[in-house]
Amino acid sequence: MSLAPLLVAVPLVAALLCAAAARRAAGVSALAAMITLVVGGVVAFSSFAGPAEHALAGLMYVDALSGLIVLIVAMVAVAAALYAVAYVRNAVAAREIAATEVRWFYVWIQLSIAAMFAVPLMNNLGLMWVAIETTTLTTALLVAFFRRGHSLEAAWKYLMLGAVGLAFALFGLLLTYYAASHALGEAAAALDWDELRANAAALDPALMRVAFALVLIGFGTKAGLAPMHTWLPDAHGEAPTPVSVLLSGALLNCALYGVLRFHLLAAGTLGAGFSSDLLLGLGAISIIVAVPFVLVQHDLKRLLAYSSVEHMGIVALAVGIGGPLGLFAAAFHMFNHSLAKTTLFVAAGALGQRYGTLRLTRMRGAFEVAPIPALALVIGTLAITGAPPFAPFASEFGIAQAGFAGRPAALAAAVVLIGGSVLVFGGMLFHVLNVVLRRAPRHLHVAAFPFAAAFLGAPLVLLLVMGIWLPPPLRDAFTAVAGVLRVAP
Amino acid sequence: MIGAAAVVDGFAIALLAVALFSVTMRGLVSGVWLLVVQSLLLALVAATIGVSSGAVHMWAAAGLTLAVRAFAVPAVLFRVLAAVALKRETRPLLSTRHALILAVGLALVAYLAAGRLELIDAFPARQALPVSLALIFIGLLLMATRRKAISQLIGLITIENGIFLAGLIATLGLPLFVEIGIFFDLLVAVGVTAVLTRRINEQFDTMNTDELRRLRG
Repeated sequence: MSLAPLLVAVPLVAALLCAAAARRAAGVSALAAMITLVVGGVVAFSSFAGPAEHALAGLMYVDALSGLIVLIVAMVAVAAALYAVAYVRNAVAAREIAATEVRWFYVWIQLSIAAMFAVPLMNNLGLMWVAIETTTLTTALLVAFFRRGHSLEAAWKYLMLGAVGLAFALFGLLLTYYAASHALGEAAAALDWDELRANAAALDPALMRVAFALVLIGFGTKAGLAPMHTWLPDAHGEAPTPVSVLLSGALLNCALYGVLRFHLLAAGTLGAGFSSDLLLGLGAISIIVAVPFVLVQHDLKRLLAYSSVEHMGIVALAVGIGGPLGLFAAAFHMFNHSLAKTTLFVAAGALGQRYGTLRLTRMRGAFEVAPIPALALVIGTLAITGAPPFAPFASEFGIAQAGFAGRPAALAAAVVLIGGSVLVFGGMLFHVLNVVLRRAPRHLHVAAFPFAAAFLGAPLVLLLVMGIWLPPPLRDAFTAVAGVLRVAP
Repeated sequence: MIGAAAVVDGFAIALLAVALFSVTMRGLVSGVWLLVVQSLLLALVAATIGVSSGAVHMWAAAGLTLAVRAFAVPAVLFRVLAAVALKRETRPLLSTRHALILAVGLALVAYLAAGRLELIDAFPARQALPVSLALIFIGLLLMATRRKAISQLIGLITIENGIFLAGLIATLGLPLFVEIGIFFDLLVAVGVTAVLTRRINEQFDTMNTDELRRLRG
């Protein structure tokens, strides 16, 4: 009996309760996120330990790859839901939103979390598409929640590009269904992942080639892969910070998960080459595109958003490189990126509320203004840019190593990865040091952030520990994910 | 069977004509009415295929199309339009004439592309697949060249209609529960975009009244 259905049910119930009990909404949302963290941990680690499981009469399918995404969503969701309490309280005090609207913020946060849990759990690829589309709709409203002019524009761009992307993915899905209903007959299960994966070799190669390309464009748009990433810096930058945490830390991985499922399918039909090369190429392009925007950035959260484009590119590239080491490092890196980005966005949000702006030129002397978020910002930046001894260094090192041992394209990708990482390291550190050092402005806002150290510190400590010594349960987890992602050459 | 295919072909051609017509329309209200016509035609296609193939779930698809695409979605859009001041596409990136020429070109490309795709034992309606591709292209064109939120939404729904048509022809629709999920999403999508459109319009209005005040002062 799997606990997986609870992961969707708990946030849904929480959303209803938030709508009904306006005063307790913050507490309900935080409590629900803590429950899903525990349940998500149980579901994830049992999926790493054993074979794939079904739940809800075959509606849900949980293997190690689903487990990794569940674990990431659970961790990021708890951080976002808890941080939202302090953030929203400050926003109400600053008259950015009315106190009467607060509960709807939590309602939409919980609905988004439910949809994000549904993505990795759905066995039917059509329902997975529905879940991903639902995340777009719920988070688009959240991006525009504060109704500033820019955030409305960002939400609109996000919604339209996301919807067009998902329309492409739907067309790819349709072709997959067409191919499957020919190979497998008129089975009702024709879009079920386990059936498709088992019979991938029987699907029509020409159709699957087009289908994978369409799905890669579609879900790749949602995953922020360049050149379809243009909505991402706007949405992640303009969203209320707890929402940025969810978007960057959790949702990008859910979209990439969709791409990876179809990659496995396409590789089963066409052999590993076609889809791996496309992932490799898009990953490298994402890294290359992100670098200049990181270097000349003017806004702290946009800086972090472009870093997300880079890191989604790195994960796609690592899967494209493949091999046991590359796939292990891909899973490891996905996990690391989410942890680091959670801390960084929370720190940026805390500083942003103190300065009343996110413009890098107006944020100065953060060490004086808010020492704990400032310190977290510096350490988090060192971690995400791949400085040793933090875990992203280990995962990026593994990816580069796998690249150098691989085919010529993989070697070129590894060179792009190293070059891009060095440039981003320099660029991000330059911006962040300018923010924390220099002289602080005189006019500052009041914004309380209780338990800041625990919030910001926990992910960083985990990244430090994993960088030095990877705990065996996590090592087994990433090995299990690499096992799911393995494709025959 | 052949008779049904010819009927579906007729509806498909009509769909293409409606889509091309909507490229030439600047009025937002008439744009939404054209969407209603598109949806009715899609429901007719689904019903025709349902009659000829005897597939029961095609009737469900036709019913859902009527309820969601032809009724609920336009109703939401009309309500939004009633609330906003601007009812015309004011400054599209392309003039109507150029947009129409481009749209016809895209339809030709769709016919060429569909000729290369071979769907064995799909529903034998020759025009449906090229028209569905043409709807997708024309929808993209509308989204890329129009500036008003509602016009972009009309483009998006045109794209979705194209995909829906392709699904009807190629596989007699997706499995019903997936189809229901997609309809649900479409409905929520329109609701969300309606909320955003209203907020955008509110901000726009405030800007206008500010200007009025400045002129008075």
